[in-house]
Amino acid sequence: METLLSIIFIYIFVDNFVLHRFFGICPFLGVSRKMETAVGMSMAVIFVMTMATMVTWLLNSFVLVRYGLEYLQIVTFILVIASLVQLVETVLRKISPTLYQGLGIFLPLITTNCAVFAVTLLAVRMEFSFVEAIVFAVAASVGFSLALVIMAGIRERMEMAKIPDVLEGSAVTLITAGILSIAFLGFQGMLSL
Amino acid sequence: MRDIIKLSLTLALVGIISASLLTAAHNVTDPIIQERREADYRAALEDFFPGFDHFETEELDEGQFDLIYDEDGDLMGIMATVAALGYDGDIDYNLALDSEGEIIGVRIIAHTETPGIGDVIERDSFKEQFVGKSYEDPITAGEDVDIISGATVSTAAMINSIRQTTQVVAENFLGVEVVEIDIAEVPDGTYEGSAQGFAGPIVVEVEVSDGEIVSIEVLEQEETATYFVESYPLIPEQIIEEQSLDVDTQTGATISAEGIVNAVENALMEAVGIEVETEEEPVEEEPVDVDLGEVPDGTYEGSAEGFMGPIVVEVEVAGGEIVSIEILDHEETPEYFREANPLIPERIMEDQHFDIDTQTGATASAEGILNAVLDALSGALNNGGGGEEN
Amino acid sequence: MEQKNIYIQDLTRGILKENPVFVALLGMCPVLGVTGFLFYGFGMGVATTLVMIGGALLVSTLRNYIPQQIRIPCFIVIIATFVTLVDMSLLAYQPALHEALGVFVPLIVCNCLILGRLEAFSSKRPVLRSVSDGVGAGLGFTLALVLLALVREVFGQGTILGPDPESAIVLFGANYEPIGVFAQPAGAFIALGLLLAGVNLFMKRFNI
Repeated sequence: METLLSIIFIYIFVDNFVLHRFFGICPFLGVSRKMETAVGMSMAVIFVMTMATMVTWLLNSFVLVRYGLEYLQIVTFILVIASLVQLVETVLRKISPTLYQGLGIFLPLITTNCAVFAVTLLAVRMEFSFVEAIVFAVAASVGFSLALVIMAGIRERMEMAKIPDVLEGSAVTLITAGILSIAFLGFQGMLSL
Repeated sequence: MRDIIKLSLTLALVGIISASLLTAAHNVTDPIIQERREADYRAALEDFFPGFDHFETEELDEGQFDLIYDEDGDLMGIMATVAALGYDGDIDYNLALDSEGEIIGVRIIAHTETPGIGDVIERDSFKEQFVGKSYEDPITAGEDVDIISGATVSTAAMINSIRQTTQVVAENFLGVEVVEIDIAEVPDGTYEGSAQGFAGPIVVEVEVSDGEIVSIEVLEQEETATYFVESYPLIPEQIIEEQSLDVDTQTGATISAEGIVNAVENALMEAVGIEVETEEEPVEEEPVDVDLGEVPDGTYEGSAEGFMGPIVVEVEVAGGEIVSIEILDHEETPEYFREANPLIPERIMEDQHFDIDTQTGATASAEGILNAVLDALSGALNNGGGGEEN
Repeated sequence: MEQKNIYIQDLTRGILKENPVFVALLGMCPVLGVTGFLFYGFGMGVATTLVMIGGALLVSTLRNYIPQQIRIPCFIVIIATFVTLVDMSLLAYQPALHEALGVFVPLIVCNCLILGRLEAFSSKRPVLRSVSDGVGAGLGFTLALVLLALVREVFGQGTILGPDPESAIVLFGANYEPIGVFAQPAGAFIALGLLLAGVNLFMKRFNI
């Protein structure tokens, strides 16, 4: 239990996927312009990350490791994520059109969200148990969402601000992300596994 | 429908081609990778144990220990592959020890400490300070090795882990006796013991009654309050509950927790009359009792070991009484030495015997002064009463 | 002559005008994640370029055989194959670099720069043009990584060509206390932000 709680705390705050590990920077910069899209993306990521980690973990333990095929991890994992995204998209469109309208447009983007791939890979490499892997996926995706939502909140306010010409656009976004990262640096060393 | 089958087949084909390609590549690179790993490790071994012939691997809970042998099959030393719990995850490292248990070198394999801060553990100046130390040395921050300010957690973690590893090696492979304490044999009473914690010594008072530990109190500690609460009172409670020192010290403040356990252990060891190894004080010599009445009048010089170095005193005896004690030279820390001088000389002159209380804020210095005085007087007697009169 | 020009255009476009990092903001994770040292940034750039070239070569060769509907999964498998090859070779021949880049090597798979170029360019163009486009994009990516890594290593560590002590050149003497924040995640963001501002200024000034 204690391990699970530390995993949750560590991957939301201490070892935040975006601000400390640099995973999922593209969506972090790409969809953080508006709070609404940020929340939509967050939900989609939490969902897909957790699902993908479950599938890849099982696949890895019961197929790849058993037959000594660990070197195929990269290929299989990315395929699992791509097909999973496709599947979720199709199912969602059939079952819940409203939810699809909310999350649908973000789903294709997730295939190239390296945070998702990184979670599936790290869950295996860090030798988590199945339950730990799931908790890890949830915590990492929540940490990702936290960073995304905070960033969206800041950027909405910055719309109105006067920014020097050369800094406009991505430059100022990155510097803001840096300051946010410094704030999260305060969690460093509080816990480690 | 036919479309779907065709598509799936195409995708499957792509997958199969990719998998077979990778399998072929894997078969080529894998032996190279294995060979290179082994070569790397052998090169590291060669660094620490030039001319070694072969090694045997033993796995313990603490890590992997390779016993290194030379051509004649003699043990050259031990290479330990262990991990220290750093600031941000494990620090994996090799510790090379010779057959006497002395450290030959430290090699950091991998760590995730903060770049620019915690990675000072990789500096040679940090690693080299361990060379030549052994399980008999304290290997304690501030005593014989230094932590690096700004990276206290990473460096302290390394220091503590290295100390433990030297002890593990000494106990498991070099046949150094470990003293086990049977709590049931400890006579009733209250005992004091101390051991190194994270930031300084931890002093505990242990009460034993009917062969059981009934209470453990921490008298002194310098730990960071916010961390210390993680191990105190938790650890004493566990010790009392289990009546064993083999408790789980993996708390939020592992080093403090281990400090407490070690302090309790030292207290009990003293209780059953086992000399505590970690204490710095020299083994107490036979109490030299000097009959002051036999010491001829005169001024005598004597010296004895204090805390940091020798203390030299000048003692003047007149009419069978000590009339003055002067400290000629010492290397003690001034703010501590103040607690022992002039208090101890005054006490000696007042009582005119040497069975005085040396429990001051600077006990080691106090005993140093006392022993120096005794040295001066016994020198006076051994020189056939002549002495070195000034 | 005409023919030649096209290739050169394909090649140079990715380096400056459509630089994947500075202009298109693609593949940012490794850009930030591995640029603590020049050597790591350069290694990452080369690894990505190799995958890029291999992918472009294969995708444009097979472009008429890959069914339209499943082209994305096929591209991904092709990329993943090359990434695994690069991963294995690094582990075998450059273990220190492999260790330092860590999980960012497999993450090349998710680099949207690669998938983007394959989908937008290589899947529609002949082999040679695809390859020169791939080389160009790869070089542009490497250039960005090297620039950022240079800034971060010089200020964050006070060295160049580290971390291997044998090759490292200490720049400011032993008494220089490095600006630690540049070595840390926060510094990566800030340094890249400032670098982008610098590139903006440069481009504006010279009207590129």
